[in-house]
Amino acid sequence: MSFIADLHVHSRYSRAVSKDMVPESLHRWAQLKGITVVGTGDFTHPAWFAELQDKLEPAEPGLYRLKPELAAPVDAEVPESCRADVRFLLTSEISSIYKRHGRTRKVHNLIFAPSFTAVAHVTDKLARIGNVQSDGRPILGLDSEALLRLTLERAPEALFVPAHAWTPHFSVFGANSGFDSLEECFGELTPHVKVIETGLSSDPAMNWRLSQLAGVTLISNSDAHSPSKLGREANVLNGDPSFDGIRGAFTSGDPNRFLGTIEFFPEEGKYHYDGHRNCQVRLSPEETRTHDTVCPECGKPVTLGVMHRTELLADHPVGYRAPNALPYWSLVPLVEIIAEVTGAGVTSKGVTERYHRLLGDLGNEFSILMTVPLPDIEAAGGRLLATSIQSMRAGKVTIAPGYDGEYGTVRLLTAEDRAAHSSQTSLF
Amino acid sequence: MLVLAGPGTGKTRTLTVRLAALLTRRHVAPESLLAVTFTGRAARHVREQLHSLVGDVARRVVLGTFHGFCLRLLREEGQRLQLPQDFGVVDGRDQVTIMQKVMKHIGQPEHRTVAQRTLHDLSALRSQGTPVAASLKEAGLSDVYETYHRHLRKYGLLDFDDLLCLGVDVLEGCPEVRSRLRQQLTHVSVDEYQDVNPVQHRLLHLLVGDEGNLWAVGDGDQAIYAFRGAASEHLLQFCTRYVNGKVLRLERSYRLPPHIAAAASQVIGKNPARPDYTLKTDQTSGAAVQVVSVPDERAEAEWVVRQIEECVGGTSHYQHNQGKVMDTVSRREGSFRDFAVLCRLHALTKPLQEALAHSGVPFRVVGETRWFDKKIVKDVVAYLKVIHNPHDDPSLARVLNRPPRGIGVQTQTALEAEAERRRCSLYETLGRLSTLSASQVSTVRVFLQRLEEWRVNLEETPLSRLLAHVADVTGLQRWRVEQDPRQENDVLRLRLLAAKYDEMNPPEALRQFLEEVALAVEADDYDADVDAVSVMTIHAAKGLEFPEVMMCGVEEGILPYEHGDLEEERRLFYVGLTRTRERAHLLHCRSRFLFGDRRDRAASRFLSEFDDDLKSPVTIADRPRRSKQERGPEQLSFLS
Repeated sequence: MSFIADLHVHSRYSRAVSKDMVPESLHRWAQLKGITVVGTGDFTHPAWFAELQDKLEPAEPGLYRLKPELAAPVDAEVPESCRADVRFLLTSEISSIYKRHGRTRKVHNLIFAPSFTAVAHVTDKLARIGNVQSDGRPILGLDSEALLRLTLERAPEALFVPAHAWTPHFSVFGANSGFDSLEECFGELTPHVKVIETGLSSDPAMNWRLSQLAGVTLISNSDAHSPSKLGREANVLNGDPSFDGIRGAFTSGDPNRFLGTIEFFPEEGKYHYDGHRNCQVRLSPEETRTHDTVCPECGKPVTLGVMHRTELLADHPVGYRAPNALPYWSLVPLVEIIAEVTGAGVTSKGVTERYHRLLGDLGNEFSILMTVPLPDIEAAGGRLLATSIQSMRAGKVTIAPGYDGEYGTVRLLTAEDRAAHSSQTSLF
Repeated sequence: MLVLAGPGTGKTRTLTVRLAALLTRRHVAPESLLAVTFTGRAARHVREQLHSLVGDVARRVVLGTFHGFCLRLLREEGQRLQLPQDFGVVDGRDQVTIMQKVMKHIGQPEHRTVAQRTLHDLSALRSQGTPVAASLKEAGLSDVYETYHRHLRKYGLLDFDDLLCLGVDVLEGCPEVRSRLRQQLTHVSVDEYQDVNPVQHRLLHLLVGDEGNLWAVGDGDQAIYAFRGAASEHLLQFCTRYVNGKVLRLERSYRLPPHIAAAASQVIGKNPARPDYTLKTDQTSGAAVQVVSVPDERAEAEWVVRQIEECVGGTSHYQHNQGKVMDTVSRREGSFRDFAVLCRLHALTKPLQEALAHSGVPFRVVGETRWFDKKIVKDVVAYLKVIHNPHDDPSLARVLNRPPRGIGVQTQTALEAEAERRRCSLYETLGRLSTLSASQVSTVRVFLQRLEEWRVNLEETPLSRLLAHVADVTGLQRWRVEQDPRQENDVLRLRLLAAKYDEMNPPEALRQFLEEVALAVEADDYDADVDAVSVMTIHAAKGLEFPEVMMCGVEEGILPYEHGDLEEERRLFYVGLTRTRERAHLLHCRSRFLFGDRRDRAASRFLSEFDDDLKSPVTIADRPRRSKQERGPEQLSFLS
């Protein structure tokens, strides 16, 4: 059996996160999206930890489920076409801000843990080092290598994953406060870093170009701050869900167990290109170089994006395919597709209604985006929607890349598509 | 030899290098070296430095505080004063509790602050090193003193002043001990000599004699413990006290940037009675002293947090997305441990702690109550102890009326007396007392039933669930959280601590949990390698240094403190400012809420005691008063 896992999310106890990020919503939205295993996020936060302990019960080894009395009313609201089992896996993200080799470093790392006890061992230590109570994603003055060591000592079964490895401000390879190699960041413990998260602004192909990542498995998660953003990126796994199974699939990178990742088009991510948001200046790495990495409008340094950064660190040419490469599927969130088709805003009422109607008719979002036959989509959602999804599945998209915290914009429909559509509708 | 040395001139380094030279060049036996420091922290620091210079032999040097030295002396020689073999040393908290008992005993008000003040007064008198009987009588403290000591003796305890005074007694009364020590300890070194109090001077003098080999290092300008009986006059009298006394000066600072050295010198120069000493610095460039005027304590705290966040280039994506920080422009390759926030009074740290906690910036408050000593933590742990062992009287006594159940102090005292009479535990007397009222009987019955339930179900209940359950059904959590909402977090953290043991058989889990808690009280609550902003009083910052120092509340009435001695307050300002390795920021509020009252505040006079060209002033404007409709994003304007 194959299933989808999205393991990097945040709870309502993190900064700038929707108040709706509670176990019940995760349970509901995982079904709408087609996610079988969802991360809890924020396990270091004592109040969230207590809430999880109260609301979840053990399921398969290392996985938890919402208690039946809590799940029942939620399931009643999920269309039958989407209803499915949901499992929780205990995860958290730590923000480490510290000095190493004479520079300020800011790196986010994920920890996936197999049990509440393992979590308690890790968090108890972190609580003595810093403040785990003011933010679900705690800020610690703790070196990433020290955090990894602490994790290995306190919870040897846990999995440690550098988060969104390329974002400029807070990641292991980030342009502003990251490192040039995993060794520089993790020292002698580097062999224990077997998995990294690529983040929204990079896709596996960009990572394949680094020979230092040859033995490292690339995973993808949504980093969702609200329930509807779940599954923006995710992992497709094979086998029966369990903590060890997922951990093993990730660390081995075995293509029979880890089938591949679901990705954003990296251009859509907030830090794909370089640029300066205040001046609305978007630059390709090439253009940045011709402007000496300063903003042509105001002269301040531009924020270097993920593409620039991978180019700097890459030692394989564009198009190089790593021997351990896994397949991946680049998708556009369904609400964005509906919004483009209808010309309405992504968060508008009309789009939301159509979204839920489609799910009711066709099944969960991933199935619509990836597997539902186009004629069925056309029947339920119209010709333009089917055309859009067809283009997306074929990778035929036009994108204005994201930069300096600004999301990129994706276009799936061309003028001809629209013209064809309107000429056709006029026939009826 | 007395070495007068200013801030950042390498006092501790000089001390350590001298010790190393004695060991390696003069081949003095390590056991013959005694080095006395002001704090245990400083002693550890010296030992580490010495270890890196001379290796393992450093372990054999006699190194510690005055109190530590006396403690060892009394363990060896205490029987000469008829001290019990296994006397204990009372900690500050218990000392106050004992003093409260004493005051009740002699019919005086037993309020905690009164007890603290009395202890403080006693200590001040006793550290003078002169016979205390007369001065006690004069101060009207003879009764208190007698009773207090009777209590301590009953418990087999000594307090910190006892250690010093009895140490002096041993050396004074036993010539054979004195001469043995003089023969053994041929080289005595003392750090922070300016803060040595009279009784410690007496001790030193006894140890080395008139001509002994005493080497002291200190800085009269940094004497900030007059309230503990230290007096910097000793520094000035060094040469008359010791035959062949010599004075050497270290005037070149390696730490201080020029603007800060100049500002500090100018301010301290206003003190009339001070050693003949000028401060010079090696460094040639650096930032001016930033003087920041803010509207109130909230703005002060926000400014501090923002300064830290900017130096590390922002702490969240959110800040970047809001355009609150420009990572590439403002940051200085700093980490959290580079920052110290210093305050004259501990009370000033409250708004700062809140703002830092809110921002998520890691920080630690030096000298704060340890987490395991917090009330609610002790309460919950006491409940668990009673579940583990109902005959644990102190724990049962703690929880019996927490939360309040109508079992008052009188009833509890009666119960305790009854237990003592019957020679059984408090638990066994519970509910058997005939004087209990009907409602008390039923309260106790409910309490005992619960306790029984917990004990019976212990096998099946994971520890974290038991803990949460106890805190909840007893009403303890609700009661404490009503007093202070932050205590909710403490219960959650305890629950997390307990969850570590959830996979064990619960009775074993409970045992191990209680063991961990017991040991944690002894060990330091914080790890040594914590990278966090330090928040502390200026007193606590003595001997430390930081790249960035932010001194808050540099206001008239606070620094100088209205109840303080002006010269000593000036020295405090000097100590605070000279903790700086790179940048100093001095903040003052134009209005401040302190001790239950909001008042307009004037900038400290110390800020006008150094030249304007050493300062870079910043003024944060008052919060504009705006109607709700107009209220846009909060913005601070910077004027200079």
